[in-house]
Amino acid sequence: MLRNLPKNIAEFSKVEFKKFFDSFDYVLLDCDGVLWLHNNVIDGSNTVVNRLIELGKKIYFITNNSTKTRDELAEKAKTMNFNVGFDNMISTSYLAAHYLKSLNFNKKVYIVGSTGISRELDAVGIKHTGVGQDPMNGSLATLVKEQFKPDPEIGAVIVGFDEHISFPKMMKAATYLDKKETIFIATNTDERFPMPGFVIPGTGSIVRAIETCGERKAIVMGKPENWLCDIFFKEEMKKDRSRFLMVGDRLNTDILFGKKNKLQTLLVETGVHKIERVKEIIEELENSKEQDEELVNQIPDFYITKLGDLLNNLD
Amino acid sequence: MNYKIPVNLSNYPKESLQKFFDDFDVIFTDCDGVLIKENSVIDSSNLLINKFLENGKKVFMVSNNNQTTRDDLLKKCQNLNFNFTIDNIFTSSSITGMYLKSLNFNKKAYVIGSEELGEELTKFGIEHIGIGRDDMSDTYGEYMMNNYKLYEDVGAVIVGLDKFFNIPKMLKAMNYLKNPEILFLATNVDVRSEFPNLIFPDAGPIVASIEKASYRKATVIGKPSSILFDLLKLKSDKERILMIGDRLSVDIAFGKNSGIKTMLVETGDDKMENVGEILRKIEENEENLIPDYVVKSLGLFL
Repeated sequence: MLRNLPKNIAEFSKVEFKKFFDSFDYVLLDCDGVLWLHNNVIDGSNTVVNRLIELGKKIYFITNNSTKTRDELAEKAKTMNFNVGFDNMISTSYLAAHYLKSLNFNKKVYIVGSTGISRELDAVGIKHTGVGQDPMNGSLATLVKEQFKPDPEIGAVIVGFDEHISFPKMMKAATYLDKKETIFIATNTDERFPMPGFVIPGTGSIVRAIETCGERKAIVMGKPENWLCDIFFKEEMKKDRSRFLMVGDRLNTDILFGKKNKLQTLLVETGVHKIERVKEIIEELENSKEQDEELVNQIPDFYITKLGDLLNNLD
Repeated sequence: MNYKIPVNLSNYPKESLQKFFDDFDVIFTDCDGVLIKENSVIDSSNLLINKFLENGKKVFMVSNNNQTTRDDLLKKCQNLNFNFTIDNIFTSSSITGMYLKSLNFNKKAYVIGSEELGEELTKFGIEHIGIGRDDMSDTYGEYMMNNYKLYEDVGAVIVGLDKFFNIPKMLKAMNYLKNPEILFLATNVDVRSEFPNLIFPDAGPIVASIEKASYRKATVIGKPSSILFDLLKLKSDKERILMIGDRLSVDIAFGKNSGIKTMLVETGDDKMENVGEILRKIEENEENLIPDYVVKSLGLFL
């Protein structure tokens, strides 16, 4: 079965571009690798986003990162000259808080994570144990015998990126998770991130530790899972999903998320994946008898070298 | 499907049981739940072990524990009247040392594990770094970019239960492991211990975390891996070698992986019911968990 390559927007005629532009109302943008790289804006991304806002598109920044609140994300975006506010931001910590709220959760949360999570819980009035250091003091034997008294009010465990992950935290999380009724949420499962010359741990590695000692699987909030659509855009998704355009740089999170949820998808090549990877996937599918749905769903509808290139078409 | 229903020895006549071990020249045995519980001997198992030793059988006590040295484990056993010597005692730490020695390993090992694991490695001539507290000297951002150091002559990353497990250790391990020539060893992968009101993680979650972060699978040294059996190069017929344990997925699986006979003793974690559950809906890889024999307690053999 021959598949079409994604369409390169840079090659669109004026007419083709207008058709494309009119086909969506909402633009969901991944952040790292699309809008910015760590703390540096990617050339032209801010100009394009601001133009899209002027032209009436509804813009959302979607990040798997749980370490910043929406306010903090908006601050970061503003310093890079994006004309956005906190209500354009959707982080996995925000999704986790709202997921619990949607269940009418009225207990307490044990957090393995950062203030990105605790502050979002505060914003919806959900009690929690706080974040920060919980280092190992003394021997394992004393840890077993004396120190920890489980809080009976805990009804959920949320795991996000925690720079202070420690053995005591793993022990406490596993103990709370031993009660079946305890809700187990992970913000995301990105395993690691490339940096110049080295790699750093991602939330996925921390979640894996806790899933293993808790002998349970977490409900994962971030891409490629569907919660963004099921919680935040629940009403809009009941109408025409194709009016949403998902823009990302990772095929196995951003694009997969978009296609699984029947949104339109645009790959930008300023992050993790390039069109070559898409070609590899198409070839893999052509050579195999079974059509692995997860691979099929990594083929974007459109691609472009960088977001900033859209400026040529938007004037 | 290649398995047999286990023989339940608990109701066998005393005469048969007393002769049972005549058919075996080599006995592997677990410690906790089989010979010892907390700090007491289980059902005079020391008398049985001492009989084995007197009769010239080879006895290997194999523990996945890497939080205690072999010397301390030996002392504990001797105080409880087991006539063991150091040559009968194997821990996941010492087996790791044996394994590296067998590969003529002559580099450094980056270790996420206990002081006791370090001591055993040193006894096998393995130079190691990384054990102990390793706090971030700075903010996370600063630490990541500047302040952690990787050594050049590291040839292996060894992961066991480490009470000081944290981000700096994860960071170092995953960056050493970027080099595919660097060995990735796990002392053991036991998941957890369960106490009343407390779940206590073991090495398994730490190993799983590093595997996820490094995109690599660890070579597991301790039970159920048969590495110890392979290293010992025993001459006896495998039919005359027996593994006695109380955990199906750790002890019995070790015996099956080694191709020897296996016995589940019900004085520890698993019981005949657990075997029954597996037999009722046996899945492909669970044949490895079915023991040849099940018995209530080693005391019945005396």
